[in-house]
Amino acid sequence: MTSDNDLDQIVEQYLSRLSVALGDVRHERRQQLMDSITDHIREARSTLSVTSEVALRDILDRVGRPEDIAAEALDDRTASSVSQKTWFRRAAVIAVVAMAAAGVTIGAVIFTRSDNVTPAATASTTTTIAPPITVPNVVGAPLARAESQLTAERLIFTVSYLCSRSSVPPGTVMSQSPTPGTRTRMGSDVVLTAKTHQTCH
Amino acid sequence: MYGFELTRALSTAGGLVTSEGTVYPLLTRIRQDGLVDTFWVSSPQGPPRRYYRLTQDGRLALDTFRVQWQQFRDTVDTILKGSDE
Repeated sequence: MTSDNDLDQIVEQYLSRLSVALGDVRHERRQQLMDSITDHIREARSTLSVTSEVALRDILDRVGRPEDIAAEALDDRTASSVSQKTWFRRAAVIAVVAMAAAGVTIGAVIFTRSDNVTPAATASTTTTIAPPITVPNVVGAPLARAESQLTAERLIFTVSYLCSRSSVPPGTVMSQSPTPGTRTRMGSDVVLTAKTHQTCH
Repeated sequence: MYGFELTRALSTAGGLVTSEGTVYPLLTRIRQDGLVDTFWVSSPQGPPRRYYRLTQDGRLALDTFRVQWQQFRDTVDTILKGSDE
């Protein structure tokens, strides 16, 4: 049986190997990469139902060889001579940011947060894009439904929370822009205003 | 999407990246180029997560790439088809 301590140590070892591999990368960038990958490993570990050395090794395996990560970082550095392959990979990352249908999770996280912040707190979520789309009508719908409708249409949306004296339940969409039925350009934002959960003064 | 989701999505797509870890240098790069920006969102567990979203420039880059990619693919397809016959 491997203790959590041992597992932490395996992660530490991996990270110090990475740090050495990134030796030629500019300090600030190296720090950024180390932080991102440390976060990534923590996230990956938190999704495990059973923590075992095998599962952890698998996570680190997926993160990849430190040398590969360093090679990518250094390849990036010579921006003027970016190879086509690098450009394709970069475009793929851009496309994933734009299109992966992770809107539901993102929305959920952000809604929870906004509910606990100040009234009229603004949160934004980014989902996905697609060719010409007709904006659905989500006014009067609870945010969760608005979210799934918009996500289904692969639209990007932003939510602002506002105080309202109206009798609708908190979390109801009060207005939207552009209005329902509008044909949107690919990747454009739908801005929603929803009633806040906070008590208004 | 936040970093972890993104890298998982990309590595599941297959063939594009060597490993999940190699996505991060790309992300830093496109962020420096102003194609994506990031914001922090508190997480239900653990420290806040860095979320990524496309900027206006990022959308333009994606549109451009779409066109370029299509041309590239069509050209290669034509050549390959020709060599079949």
